[in-house]
Amino acid sequence: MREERPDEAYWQEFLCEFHHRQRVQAVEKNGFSAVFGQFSEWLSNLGPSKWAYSAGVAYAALMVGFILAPRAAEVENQPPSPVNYQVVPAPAPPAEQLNQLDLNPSTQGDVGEQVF
Amino acid sequence: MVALQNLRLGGVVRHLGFWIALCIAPSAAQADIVGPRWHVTFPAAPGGKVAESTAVPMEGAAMLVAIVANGADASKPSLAYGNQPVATKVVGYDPVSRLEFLSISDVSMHSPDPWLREAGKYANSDLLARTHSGPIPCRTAGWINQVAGKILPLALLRVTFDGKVPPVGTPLLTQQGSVVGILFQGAGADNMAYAIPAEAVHRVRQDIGKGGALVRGWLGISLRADVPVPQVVRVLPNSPAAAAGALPGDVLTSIGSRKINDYADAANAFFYLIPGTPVKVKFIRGAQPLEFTLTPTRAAEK
Repeated sequence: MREERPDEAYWQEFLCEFHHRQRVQAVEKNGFSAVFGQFSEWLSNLGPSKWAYSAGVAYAALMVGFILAPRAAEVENQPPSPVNYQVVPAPAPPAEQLNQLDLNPSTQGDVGEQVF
Repeated sequence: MVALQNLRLGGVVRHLGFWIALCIAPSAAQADIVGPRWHVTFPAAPGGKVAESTAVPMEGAAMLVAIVANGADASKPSLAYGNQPVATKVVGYDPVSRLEFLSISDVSMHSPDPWLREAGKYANSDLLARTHSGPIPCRTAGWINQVAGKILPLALLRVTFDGKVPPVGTPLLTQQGSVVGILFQGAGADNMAYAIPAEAVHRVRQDIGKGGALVRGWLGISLRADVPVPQVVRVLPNSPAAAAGALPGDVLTSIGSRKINDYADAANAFFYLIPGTPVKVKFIRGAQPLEFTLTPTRAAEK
């Protein structure tokens, strides 16, 4: 019985081809996941400097979020506009003609036309 | 030496005399203005209250004038000179001005001050109120012809005192001792009061002396109390104004010597009309000034 075993290069190429197909499949499956996958791959390929890049990206995202976050509406103090309302004083009581010198507040005189 | 001593002694005596005279002089001047000692008490009318007034001697007949406050019985006055009761008779009482005139039989007790004919010259002057305890400085501050929207039948003098307002009836005198008016009533504040002018006292006395009551003059024109402009509303038929040719719409500008600016001025001027005595009345009709001489008749009693 003869056993044939591919050489090591074959297996390497096979594995590489397998991963490539997986990535292509993932890209076709979901755009966001693909981007994320690419980003993850890119990040994993960075080596030890990936933490620095991650921190920078996180800071940039935070700042973008801060800048783009909706602010509370600014309230402007509108100048007071004149109101079309006039205070009308209560009508003064009609003048009374006293027939006697009596300055008592309760004393009542004659109103209206007076004959002299 | 002796002569020199006599000279010095004489100088000292003269100096002493000067200072004594200087000290006595003001006291003597004030002694004239201390008083009055006349005092009247009016009993309460039904539902009213007792009223008191200082009485002021009038020139001429032995007569005094006093104020009868609202709610008092003017027909039964009790007159006193200091603490001594004095018999008196009511000569007359005018309910419009609330002036009462009293006569006394003992002429020797009657020592009146001179009275001014008109108070207008002293409407803004420093005066003295003559009270039991001495003169109180006061100041007239113009005329008042309406109080709280009520138009008075005659204008009063507004008076302010340095201290508390003295009793009703207190005479107000010029610095020379002539009566300008008599205190009618306090004006609410502690140091303010109203006074009846001398001409009102004379006007009432003139009629009181003849018939015991004031007789108002009547022209036969009507004005509206609630319209400040003194414009004639109606001219009554068979009236002095109708006979002279006054018309509705004419605006009064003067009655006698009194200028008329508003209704209250007119009401005051009408108080002084004397039946049978002609008076010059000025109007404006449109832009034309007119002058009539009207003779008031007796007004019907209200």
